[in-house]
Amino acid sequence: MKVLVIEDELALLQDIKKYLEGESIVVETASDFRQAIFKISDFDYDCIVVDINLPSGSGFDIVYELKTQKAKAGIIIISARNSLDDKLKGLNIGADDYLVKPFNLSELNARINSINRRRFLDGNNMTTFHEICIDHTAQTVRINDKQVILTHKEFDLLVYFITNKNKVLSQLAIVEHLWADEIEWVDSYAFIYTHIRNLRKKIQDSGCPNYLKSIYGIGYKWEDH
Amino acid sequence: MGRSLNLLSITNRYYLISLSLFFIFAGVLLFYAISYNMNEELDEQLYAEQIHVENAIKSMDHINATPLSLLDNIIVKKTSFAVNIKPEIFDSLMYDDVEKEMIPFRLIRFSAQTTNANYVIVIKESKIETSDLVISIFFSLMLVFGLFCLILYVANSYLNRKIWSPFLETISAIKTLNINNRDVSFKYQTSHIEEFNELNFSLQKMIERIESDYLHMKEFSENAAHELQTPLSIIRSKLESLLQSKNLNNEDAQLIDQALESTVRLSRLNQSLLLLTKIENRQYEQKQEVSFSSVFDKYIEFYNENILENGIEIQLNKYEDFVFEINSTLADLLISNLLSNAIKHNIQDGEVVINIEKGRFEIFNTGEEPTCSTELFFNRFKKGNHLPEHLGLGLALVKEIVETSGLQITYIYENDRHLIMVNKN
Repeated sequence: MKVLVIEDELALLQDIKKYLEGESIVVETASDFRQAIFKISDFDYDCIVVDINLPSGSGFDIVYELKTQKAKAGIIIISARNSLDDKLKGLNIGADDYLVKPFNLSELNARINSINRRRFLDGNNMTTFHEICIDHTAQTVRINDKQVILTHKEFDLLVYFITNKNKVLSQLAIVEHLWADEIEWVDSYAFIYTHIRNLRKKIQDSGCPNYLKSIYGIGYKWEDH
Repeated sequence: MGRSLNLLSITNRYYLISLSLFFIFAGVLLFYAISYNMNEELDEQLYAEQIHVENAIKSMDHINATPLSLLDNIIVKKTSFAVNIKPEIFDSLMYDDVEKEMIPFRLIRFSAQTTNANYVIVIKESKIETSDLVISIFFSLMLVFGLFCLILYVANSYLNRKIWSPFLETISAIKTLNINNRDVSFKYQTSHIEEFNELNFSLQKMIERIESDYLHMKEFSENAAHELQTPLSIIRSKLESLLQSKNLNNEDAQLIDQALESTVRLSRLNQSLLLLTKIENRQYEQKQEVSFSSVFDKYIEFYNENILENGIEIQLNKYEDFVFEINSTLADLLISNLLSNAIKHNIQDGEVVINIEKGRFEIFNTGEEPTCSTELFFNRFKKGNHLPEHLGLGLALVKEIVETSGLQITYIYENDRHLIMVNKN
């Protein structure tokens, strides 16, 4: 998968690049409007992550440009502006997702993967991880060819873990992923524990090794043995 | 500051006080002046009569009492020896046969001689006219005074309406002014009174300055809040990357995790404040009919897991739907905040009771007794007993929403229950 990240904050850009590359994604970067326009005219990407506030231009214009070029790339807007108006504007002009800063890198990765699946794997929207086979369209999971019944949240968690495999995921990042914009529940870790316990039990009962490692006091890590 | 009076009362009061003083002074002065003049007049009259009497008796050998005593204002006393007293004028109360009472008199006493007799003669003149005059002067003064006050009052009322009307208009224009609402600007009519025009002009200048300052401040706080998000996201991505580092011991990882948590709280705080500012600035003006019953349904479903997790029993009584014209985003924020508070600040296996009625709804929930007055929870950053991670902005947000939407909220704690009531104004 090839992703273009357009972001003027170099420090953030570096981290995004590093994190995504760790997930075997080819990452190209652009740190200003001109550079971004050049890159999107010259190359094709699977996904474009674009910041709204760029020096010498708006991220919205890049989205317009992509749409006029009829580019097939998925578009994720990242912005410090958490207003409904901006979100609606972004989505209306053709962005696929809108992520408010500050965000977790694992979240960005999950969103990129999700968009990628939706856009390019039409019909055959599957993820396989060893004996685990996830059908994103039907929202079903088969382990060792046997269907495992997961709740909506457990399914979501499993996809999130596998997308961010081998990464330490803090409880915080998990809560934010599951309960996206709910300000007041940031501190409630108790119930993610319940979901994770149930998910782990269901997977192990189906004959999987314990991929999901608890990291005491911090969070979890899905390990690829 | 004491009780304030309006301009008219104040001016009237001062006019009355100064006029009363003036009238008292004038009355006293007038009284003495008139009395003095009357006495002078009487004295002259008495002297004239004295001369007249003296001339009359000069050629007589003795006074035949009859013709003189016919004039009952002359008293003649015969003395056995010659007295020579100087004519003397004095006041005295005497019984008057006509008036049948004691009345003041002005008298003159002098000695007179006929060819072979000595007399002391007293001539008296009634002063009753003088007193009557003083009384009538007093009453006419009172009348003038009363009329004066009446005219003053009428004139002042008229003046107040006429002259001060631009001033009163200015006041009502200021009252309706809302810095948030640019549609209602400060409008005034030019009057023919220079001072008022100057006042209005200065006011307009001042309001323009306040408006521009306010706008700048709003822009500044919004920009500041947005600008904060970028460094925060850098901190967060750095910490997250650090967390992935292979040779990280558990202790360090926990430190990083705690730092991460704080950045999240910081950015949430920032967002909440931004939201609060937006509500305050009335940027959620678009209203529609919202059924609170369905908003409650939505959020009870939304918090279902948290409800189950805490073993909370939730009871939703819809006696009648509460439909209200409100911005739908604000309605969502209001209910989600109240509901999440009721669940979060509850006890294990507690309960939440929601009653929806026409024009109002109430939420009861079990929970620990608050350590301070419940009204204080509406203040920003006021937190309850525990949950340090809680931002302390939830109820401030709720209050802001309620106030800008024309609702009313009451929060009380009784019978071990927190009760929040929201009703139409």
